[in-house]
Amino acid sequence: MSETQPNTQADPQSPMQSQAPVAAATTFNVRLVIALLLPLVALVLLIVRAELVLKQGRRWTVAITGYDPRDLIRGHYLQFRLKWKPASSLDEQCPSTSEDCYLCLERQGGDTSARPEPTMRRVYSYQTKQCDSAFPAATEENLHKYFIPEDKGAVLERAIREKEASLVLAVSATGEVVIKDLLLNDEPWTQAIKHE
Amino acid sequence: MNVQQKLRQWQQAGLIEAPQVQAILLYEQQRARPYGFYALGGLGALAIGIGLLSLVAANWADISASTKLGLDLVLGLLLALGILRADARRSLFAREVLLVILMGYVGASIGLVSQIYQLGGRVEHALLLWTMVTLPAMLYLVTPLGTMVALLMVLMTWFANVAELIRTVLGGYHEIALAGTVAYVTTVALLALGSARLVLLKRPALARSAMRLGTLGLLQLATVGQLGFYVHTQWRDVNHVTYGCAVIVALAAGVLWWVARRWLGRHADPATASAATKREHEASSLWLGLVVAVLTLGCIGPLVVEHATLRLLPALWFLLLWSLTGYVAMRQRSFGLFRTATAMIAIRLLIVYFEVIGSLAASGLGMILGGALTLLAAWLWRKKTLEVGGRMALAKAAEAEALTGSEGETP
Repeated sequence: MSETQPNTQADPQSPMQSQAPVAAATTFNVRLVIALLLPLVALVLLIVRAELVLKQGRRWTVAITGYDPRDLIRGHYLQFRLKWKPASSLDEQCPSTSEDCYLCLERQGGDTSARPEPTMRRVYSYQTKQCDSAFPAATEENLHKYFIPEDKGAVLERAIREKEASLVLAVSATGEVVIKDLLLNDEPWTQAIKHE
Repeated sequence: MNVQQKLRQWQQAGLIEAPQVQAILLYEQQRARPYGFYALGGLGALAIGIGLLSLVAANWADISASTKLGLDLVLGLLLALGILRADARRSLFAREVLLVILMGYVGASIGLVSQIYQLGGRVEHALLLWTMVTLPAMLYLVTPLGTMVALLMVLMTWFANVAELIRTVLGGYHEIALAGTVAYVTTVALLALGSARLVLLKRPALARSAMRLGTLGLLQLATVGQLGFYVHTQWRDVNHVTYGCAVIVALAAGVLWWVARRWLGRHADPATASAATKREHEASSLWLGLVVAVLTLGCIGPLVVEHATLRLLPALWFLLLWSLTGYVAMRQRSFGLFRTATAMIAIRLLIVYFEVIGSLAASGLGMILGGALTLLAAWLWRKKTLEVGGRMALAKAAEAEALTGSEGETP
């Protein structure tokens, strides 16, 4: 591979295909190679990051509820709110609008399941060491919608009204959070609607 | 009438000989660009890009996540290899089309990853990532359509993220001042990009696209931007933010004047220009400076000076701006700009009708005055466009003749 000047201009004699020497076909423009690799590398990193959070993150189950029964499904997204179980702590909680505010998730005493339902309280960043998992409060807005296939909208809407819906979240040690799955009566939604 | 018909006419009239006809036709053939082909190819590339996005939106539920992601990355690699091959073979068209497809592909892939991993997040952040990772490759686009698509992507990302920044940092009244400042600075930046000698030399298509988009922005500043007088500015609204905006806009206005002066001197060669031409150029430059000043004051002035809602001043300021523009166009023999200026004046006079509608008496009076003014403007426009158009054509012919004469005299 050798570096060549970028072909920034068309050959005025023939804009479609010039009579370039055959040797030119075997040389690549290094800068162009880098420019083309950049988006591909970025996509791979995006996937690796999401996979790491899913694989290494601690898992929690949180119940969800719609904003309004008529507005549960909008477009291809299921829209909802998280029904956090409040912690009994009497500590003063930070406002969710604060950049330094974190959602602190803690396992309830006696719950030994693989993906327990946590209690939640808002704490400042310096208090997150007490938590089993924590992530920035601002990130919570990313957890209010779930992408669904367009042909499953109606079935899913009915199923959610009739069953208990919850999300499985994966929270990494560095405070990244992704939705792992949507459950209906503790069953992955894809399985749950098979009988519908 | 096409070139061949014209040439046939000139040959029949005895103005040119057959060998000259052949030479001209050969020259024109070599210069001809397959614009239809480019346009169709560009549309095809855009259709594929949009198709990719739709495919993601449809979410192919029956394919596993790993297969989707694997196929997606393979497609990306194939596209990259295709672009490299087209570049090595110096096939501009193929490289251009594949680059635009790559742009659509990256956007679609970010959407796909977000959907598979339920990443959520904001659209403006996805746009920012999209632009950042594709921009180096997009800099290899050289055709007008390609550069226009790339610039639109950058502008879309810019405005989406700036709006978020403004919303986050401030709220309420200052949004107007900041949004106006951003629009002004972006427009000037586009025009400066299109006027920069280096860009004109290295990326002429990019310069043309930037100039076109900048001109559109300028048109918005000279129309929508002049509506600030309608805002009721109170003392509490004017603070360090609005003053900061005014300073930034004033600095950008300096750059805009530089762009305007470059536009003014686009056909002139300072080395060979006569003293009279230079004087004319200087005078026109000052007139353009006045146009820039009126435009800029109309955009930012109402936001930094306390005032109640004004009814007459917005229309008067608008008419002043476009009258000055029309005058400069006349001086510069830019018939297109002159027609635009007169049309803007006529449209604004029509809008005055609706502004004065209030009580029956005021409406009646306003309609009569507005109607009369519109009729007068239409008559003047018709008279002046014919007169000015004729004068401009004569002046241009005289210039061409003088140029031919001086070339003939050169040994």
